[in-house]
Amino acid sequence: MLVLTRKVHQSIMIGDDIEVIVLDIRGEQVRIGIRAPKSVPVHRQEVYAQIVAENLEAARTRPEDVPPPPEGENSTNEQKRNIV
Amino acid sequence: MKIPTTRFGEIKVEEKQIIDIPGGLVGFPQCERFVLLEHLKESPYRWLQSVDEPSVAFLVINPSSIVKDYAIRLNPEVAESLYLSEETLKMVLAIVSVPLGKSKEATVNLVAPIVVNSEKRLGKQLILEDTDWSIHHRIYGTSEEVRSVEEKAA
Repeated sequence: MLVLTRKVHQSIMIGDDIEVIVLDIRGEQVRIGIRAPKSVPVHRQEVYAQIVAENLEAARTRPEDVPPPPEGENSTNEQKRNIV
Repeated sequence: MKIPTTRFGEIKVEEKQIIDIPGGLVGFPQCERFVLLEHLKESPYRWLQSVDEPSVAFLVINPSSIVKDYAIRLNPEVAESLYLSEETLKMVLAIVSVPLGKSKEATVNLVAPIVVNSEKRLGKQLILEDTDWSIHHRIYGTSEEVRSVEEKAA
């Protein structure tokens, strides 16, 4: 891992169009600003990791385990699946 | 075109029915093309089946059918990337996860909805920041109710 030391208001360029700026340091908290193209999603790592884990888990859902509709209506056993 | 699927066998898909999700779903960058299938007639559940990976399919539901006041604020960047305006026909899908053999423990992920421009069939999975919604929102009863039942049983 590349390690750089920065002071408040100093920044780092990642490639030509991503800038990471240290805005403020208070005790254990660091406020960071990110300038990136709209096509680059930026997320807190722990939230991103949770969504990856949840998507992986969800992808294991089997058709036979699908619950009845939440409203309690029973579905008919229609086998043909239409594309919506 | 015909596409193989692990869960539903071979299905016939027309090009115009494909939903493009550039960059794929979170954790599934290789899955950029999907089709939406009915689960059963009248069921609010649907399957978002990958066109490229036969084994990848997500059970999805309109989150508003689970949580009446569910609403997401699209930021301008996302709206622009999906060519969405106020008038554009769009749909919001939330991914449902059902543990093996435990239908009643189904949860829905309200933090990472998939927003689709229905006209262009172009979608994206969002990750909502600073939200009170849960990644594991119980569809059948809250976890508190489940806990109180368990306590009574104990």
